[in-house]
Amino acid sequence: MRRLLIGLPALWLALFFGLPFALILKVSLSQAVIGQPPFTPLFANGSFQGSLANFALLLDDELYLEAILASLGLAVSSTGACLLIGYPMAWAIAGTSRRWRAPLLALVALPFVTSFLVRVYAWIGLLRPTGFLSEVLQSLGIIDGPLALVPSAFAVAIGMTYTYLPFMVLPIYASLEKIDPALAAAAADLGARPMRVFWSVTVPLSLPGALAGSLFVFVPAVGEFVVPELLGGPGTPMIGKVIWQEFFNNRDWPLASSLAVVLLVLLAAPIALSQKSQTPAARGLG
Amino acid sequence: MSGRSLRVLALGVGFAFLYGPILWIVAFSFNEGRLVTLWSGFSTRWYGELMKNQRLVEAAGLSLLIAVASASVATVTGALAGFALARLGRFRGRGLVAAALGAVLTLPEVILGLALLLAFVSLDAWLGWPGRGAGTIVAAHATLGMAYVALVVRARLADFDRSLEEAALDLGATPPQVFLRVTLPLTLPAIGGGWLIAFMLSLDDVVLASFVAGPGATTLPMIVFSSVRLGLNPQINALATIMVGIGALAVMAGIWLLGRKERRA
Amino acid sequence: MKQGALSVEGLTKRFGDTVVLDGLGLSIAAGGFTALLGASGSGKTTLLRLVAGFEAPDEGRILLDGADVADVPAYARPINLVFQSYALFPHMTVADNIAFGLRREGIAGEELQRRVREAMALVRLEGLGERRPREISGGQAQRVALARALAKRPKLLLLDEPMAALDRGLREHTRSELKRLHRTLGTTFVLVTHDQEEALALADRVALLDRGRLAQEGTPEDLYERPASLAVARFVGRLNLLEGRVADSGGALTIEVGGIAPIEARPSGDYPPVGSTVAVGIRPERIDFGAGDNARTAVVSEVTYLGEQSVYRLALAEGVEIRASRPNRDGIAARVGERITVSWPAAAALVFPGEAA
Repeated sequence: MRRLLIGLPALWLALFFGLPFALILKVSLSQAVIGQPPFTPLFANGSFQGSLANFALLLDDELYLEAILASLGLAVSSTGACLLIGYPMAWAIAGTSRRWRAPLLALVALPFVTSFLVRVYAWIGLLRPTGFLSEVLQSLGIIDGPLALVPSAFAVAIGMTYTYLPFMVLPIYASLEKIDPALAAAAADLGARPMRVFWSVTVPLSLPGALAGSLFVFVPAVGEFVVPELLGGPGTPMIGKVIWQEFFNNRDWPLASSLAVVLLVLLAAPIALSQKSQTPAARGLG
Repeated sequence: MSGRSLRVLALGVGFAFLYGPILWIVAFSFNEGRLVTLWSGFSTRWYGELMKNQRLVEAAGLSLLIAVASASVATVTGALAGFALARLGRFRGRGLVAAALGAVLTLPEVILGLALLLAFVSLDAWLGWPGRGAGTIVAAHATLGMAYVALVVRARLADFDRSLEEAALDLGATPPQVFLRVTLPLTLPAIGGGWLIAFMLSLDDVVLASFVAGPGATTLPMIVFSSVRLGLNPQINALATIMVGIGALAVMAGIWLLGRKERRA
Repeated sequence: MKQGALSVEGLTKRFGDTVVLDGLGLSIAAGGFTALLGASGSGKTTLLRLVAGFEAPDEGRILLDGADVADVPAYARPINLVFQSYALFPHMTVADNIAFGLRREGIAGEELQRRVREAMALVRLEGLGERRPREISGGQAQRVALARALAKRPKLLLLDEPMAALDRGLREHTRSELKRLHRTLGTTFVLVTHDQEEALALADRVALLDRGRLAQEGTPEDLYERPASLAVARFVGRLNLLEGRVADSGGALTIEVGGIAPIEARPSGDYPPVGSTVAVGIRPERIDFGAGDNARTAVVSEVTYLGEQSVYRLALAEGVEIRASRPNRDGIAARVGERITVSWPAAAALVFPGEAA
């Protein structure tokens, strides 16, 4: 009984998580060849054939470093934008009466379950030169000619903010909801004005939620592929996109693997940090 | 500005941002003309054309099949993992299982897709199994879905009053009976919610599927992705509207399940 | 012969490095109403969980009617528990909650219906059978928990802090209900509580636990009037404590206490030797206003009016204060600042040898 309970999921994870990541590490040390599989074996003729050549190449070619920096930069801006839009939303929902909270939260989560591709697709329509935003700005006289926002890094940031916003709102709401309302009342009673109460009581106590939300946005954003592929042009070489191109276009599996290893190392700390927050954040879901 | 109007402003801005693009898609799916930026009259012609697009309809069928299969596998493995993590105390490998599930949740899909593909290719070379196609997509999606199911089930069990299980034991229920009559019924809404999340994730995924599909299998998101790359297309608006509808239905089902939990708990 | 006699021998339970039960020995007679009393951390909850079968002891035996039940799993023990949180199954109706334990015994059909009705009648729950736990009040929930446990006709009923979740008004009522149930059924009742008032009011025997050991077992009166140790005396009821040295043990015991006239005491049992340090305890209600044994003058420094009685803080000397309580039948007996004569019978002083107050 006990064996089955642990054994089945553990076996599954070993097969479809442990093994894959061991292989990524292995393939990152080999070289691309034309064949099946398209990489050299790590052991041949009884000796170790692996090398760090791929990693040396990554260091050598500025393209990869730029991709990593661009990814980090865009992930940070998207996280910041999510925080800016998401925190007030979470705060507003936590402040409504109990009756309204569940439906409002459902409204936040609803886009999350509608197709991700579809939501990104919508922004192409809204941001292109003949799109909604450009037309509105022109008719208001703010800009003269058509505005081409897509493809651009700005569009990628908007797309990622849009995609991951629910991930930010839900954990912040969860931590705001836990704050005893008597604390704000006590602060007010002791002479704090509403703004002071907000900054001295509400914000510090909701920081764990804000941190969790930021990690839930930041980590997937760094490695995002679909959004930069659809909304970004050649000017935004995010690392997820580069991995994809190395794999599908150049069929260089070892180089793609070594890029994945680099990305994994970059994200190891934030992923580990976000693990603690997952279970509390999931309470609202189930 | 009063607190109340600040709240209305925050929610107004947020929800406009979240729903504006979706409303735009829905509106233009009913546009007569081919241009998705210029309104030229109401029509449902794009829905009709969508239905005639054989490739798309087939891919949608395959996607549904994959989503049901992978969500079901994910629910079994994920619920078991959730129970093990929440209820078995310390066991060997507990930390590894928890860390692996947590990593699957947050890892960029590109990495997970690449890693899974390497595993499938290697397994195929060693064992002649599993090949590449719908089966490997199911396995990949089940791995992703499992992490979500385990998370939701674990959170539910963590909030669960342990004395309920002890009460059942005290009243003469053997451990298997305690599980079947008390623990399982009270966890079922979370398990159902987990299945729905896994189902929606599978139906939505393009990255994992693209890596592990091989030439044989094409899912709906893969077709949508390749056509979106080529530019805007009112058929996609129509399809998107249908998908939004399915998503809304799933959320309502989820709320209904949650409501059941509330009523019962 | 009555059933439901419980005894534990050398019971030890550790959690990591913490010893929660330390070789505990205790006997509970069949058919009685015993309170396990103790502060938090005394081990009373652990004892309850061991008896119910949720935990296994590290050492020692648990005997029910003379048979060791340590290896009997919780679901097979003829012992049932009323949980502090009630632990009613939220996904079942009240009737299904009560039927749950009966169904596990294979009882079904007419017999099941009859036993459920019987249990509901016993705790006066008629008409609530189809409600869900969240649709009933706290007092009703407690009665469902009682009915659910009693429906199994256990040899021993454990009650874990049954009044903790009830408001004051309901407690009085519940107390007399529990006494009535105990009289009607003759089942052994074991009440676990940290509330001494509740233990004294409900039980005919009280076992006081202190740091995983049995401090004293006896009638409520035994514990209050004849505490076995200073710890028992301090835990049960209120106590004035003075520290002193035995000056003379011929006839009555004469104890010198710093700052005030020597105290005369006639404790039961052996007298401590002359010259030894002792703690002297006097219950506030044993202090009389007026002349008698141990008479001395005192200044009233504070009066606390409590309705049926008042509590007076009395300064016997600089830095030596005691509290006395008097019924208010004839009004308040003294005012703040008043100088009065107080006394207490020599037999009322509790003397604990070798202990510092």
